[in-house]
Amino acid sequence: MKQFLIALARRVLLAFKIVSRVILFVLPVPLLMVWVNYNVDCSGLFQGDVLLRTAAQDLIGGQNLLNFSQMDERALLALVAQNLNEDQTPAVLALGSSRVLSLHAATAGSESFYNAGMTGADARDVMTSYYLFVREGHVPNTVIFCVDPWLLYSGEDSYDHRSDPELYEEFLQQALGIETSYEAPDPVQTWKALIDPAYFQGNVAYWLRNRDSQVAYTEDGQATPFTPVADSALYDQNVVVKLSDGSVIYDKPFRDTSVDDATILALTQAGSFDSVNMEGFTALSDDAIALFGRFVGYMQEQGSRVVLLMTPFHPTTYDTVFYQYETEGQHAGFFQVEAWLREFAAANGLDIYGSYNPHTLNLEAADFFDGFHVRDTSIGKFFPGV
Amino acid sequence: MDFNTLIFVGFFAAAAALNYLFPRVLRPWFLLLASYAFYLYKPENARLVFVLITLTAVTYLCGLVIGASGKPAVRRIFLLLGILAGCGFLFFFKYFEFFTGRALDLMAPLGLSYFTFQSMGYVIDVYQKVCPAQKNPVKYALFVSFFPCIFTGPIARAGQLMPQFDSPARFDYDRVAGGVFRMLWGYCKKMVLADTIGGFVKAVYSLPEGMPGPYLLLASLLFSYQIYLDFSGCCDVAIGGARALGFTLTENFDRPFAAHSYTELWNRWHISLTSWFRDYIFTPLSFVNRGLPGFWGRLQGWFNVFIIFPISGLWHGASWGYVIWGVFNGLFMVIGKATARTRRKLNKKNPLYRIAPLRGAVQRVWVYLLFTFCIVFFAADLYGGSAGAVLGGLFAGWDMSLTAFWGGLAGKGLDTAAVAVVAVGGVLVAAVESRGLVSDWIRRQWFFVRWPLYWLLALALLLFGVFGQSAFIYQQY
Repeated sequence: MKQFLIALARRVLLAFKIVSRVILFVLPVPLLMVWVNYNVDCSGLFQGDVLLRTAAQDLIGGQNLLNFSQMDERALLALVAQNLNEDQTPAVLALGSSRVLSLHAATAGSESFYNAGMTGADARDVMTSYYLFVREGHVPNTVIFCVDPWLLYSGEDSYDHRSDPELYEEFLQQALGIETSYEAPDPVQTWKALIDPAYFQGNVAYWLRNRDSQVAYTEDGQATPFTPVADSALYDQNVVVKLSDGSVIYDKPFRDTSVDDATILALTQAGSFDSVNMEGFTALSDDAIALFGRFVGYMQEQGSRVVLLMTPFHPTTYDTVFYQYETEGQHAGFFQVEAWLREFAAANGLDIYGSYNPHTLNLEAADFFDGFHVRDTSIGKFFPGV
Repeated sequence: MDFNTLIFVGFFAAAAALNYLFPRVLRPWFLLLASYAFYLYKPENARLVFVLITLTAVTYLCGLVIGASGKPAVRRIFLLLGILAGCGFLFFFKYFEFFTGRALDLMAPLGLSYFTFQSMGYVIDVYQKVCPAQKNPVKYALFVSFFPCIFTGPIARAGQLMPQFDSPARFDYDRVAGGVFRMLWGYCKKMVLADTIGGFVKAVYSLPEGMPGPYLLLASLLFSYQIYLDFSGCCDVAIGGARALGFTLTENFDRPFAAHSYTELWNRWHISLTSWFRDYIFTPLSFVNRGLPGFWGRLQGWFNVFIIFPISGLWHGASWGYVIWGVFNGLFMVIGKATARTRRKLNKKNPLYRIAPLRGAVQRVWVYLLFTFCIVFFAADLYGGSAGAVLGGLFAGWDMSLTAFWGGLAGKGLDTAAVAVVAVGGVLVAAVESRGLVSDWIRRQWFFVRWPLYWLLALALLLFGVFGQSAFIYQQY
């Protein structure tokens, strides 16, 4: 018995020796590979595009960045939501199109604010913007929901080509429980890159190339255009600046547009008014109305207080469109939205601010950059903040 | 499955672990299963597995009959049958089009040249009573299909490998660790060094027309080293793998470029194939032609030496490039033998010859250059270029500036980092391999040298290895 136990102990010791050495031999290098592949991630497989990822981190870190026009706003928003820490969850989140992008934290009435507006945002963009924050565990206390008229239209032309239909399907299925063709992506293919030696080599080369650099570079060696800009120089830029709160400051030439020039622009834009996601918008869409209601309900279920906001159009644009409506019956859908929205707000006990009609808000041509965009300095005239 | 894939690494780790968990009596069964799983992993092999099975069955039966029969005629008939079976498959799948000019659009089973030679060698050995006939079909099937060496050799000999299946070795940590290190060493030689050089050689050899002479010369010189690193690296993986499983395979290389003569080089290069030809072609031919007088005897001897090389060329592939490679190697061997006495006499009168380091260096360089001249035909065939264009272009384009040359080199895959990796790696390979078998050398090292070396090699493999681009060159033969 004693000999048996000694033999057994020897075998156990041998097994321990082998296993420990195998682990010691096998683990360190693959672990290093996984660590480098995940953290450097030069192709953005795990953490998103390098330049946008850096931009997102810079924004979260409080920096304002140049060249907003070159940003993939949808991808950037996803990366901002993904890179936020728990204590960085914005208390107030603004949703909408570029028509809300000039809403800064100070005007919104909260220091903990992020403007998730994006150029050309359609219904899919707006809903998925909120969903991105929820998915990452960052449910805001208050949502300033800037409702553009085309959100209540569900025709083909109400969608922007830049919006992400797959993310939208995910939102419908995962958030609203509506059956879609969405299938959760198979992560295996992506995660295989963690143990891909070729990717490791690319990451090491990328890191070696850029380790001392102050700015981010792409895999191909292109420097990021999203460079930080000092607070004192925010209004001197000839490119659009993305502020750390998500809102934007338009470029100096655009901001310095004279009232006359803005009016001419507004008149031109009135001529192509429907082309902004409203082609064929003759009546409110039942589907869009139902979805709108469900989305607002979803935000409330998550615990967010919803504040509705209608940003006005330039008086010239509005008047021209209204004339076309009265004389030719055009834009019928557009002119139904505001009334319906006010009814909806009243029925659901929601605060609602603003109007599409600048005259009811006592706004003048000088309050606008162009036909669609109200000046940041004028938002306070119809929105007191939350 | 290819050796240089993660799937093989996983497969091997699982096979090695399970191998030692099985009772020793069951290990041949398990290893046979593993070997066929390894072989069948590629769908194209699965379609042609009947070749392996048929050849195994035929040569097994031939071995049994030859071993059991006392009648010379019967023994001879079954010897011929065994050889015909091997040669028949080889001819049908590999040489039919070459010899008849009619295309059958057949793809040869992977490892055909290796397992046919291995099984034919077995039949001949049994006939010559070098080894007994294997009665156990599982052990014989394992001998023919043993996965570490079925695709790339070394071509095992029955007398050496088969007895090891009768009593598989017990687990020995040093042995396994040495084997695994040798595999890692082989991977580094192949994927870090050979493939780095290979990128450049391929760029030059796939389109040699109009290529400046300096590149053609460098690519040719480098290809000799590349093919050594590639093939010996592959053998390191095979031999190291077998060692980790508890088996010893024939060594296939013995620092060939340290050879002082062409004959010595061929005694150190692809040893298992060279010795196969020596034992099964050269020796029988010499025996048949023994006793020829004077010059005719010498001529016959030279012919016997010469003929092995064109055959060896054909073994590599059914194309004239390989045959010409063999012819030149055969010629150099014969010239070496024919002029040996004269050269010895002349050397005695040469004062520089007495300076051993200088003599050794000149001999090695000369041997390397001769080998490189022959390998031009081999490389041209491998990369689809024209050997004529390579040799014809060697003397053109030497007026280019050093900067332009360096720039072109980088453009063809040999940038500064690659050159540094190849240079440092080459020195390391030469230094370590001059100290004996890598698997033994590493076990002699102090713990604090050994372990950092493991990680350094693994890291070098990760950092500088060329992944997913090429299989081992000798895997296609």
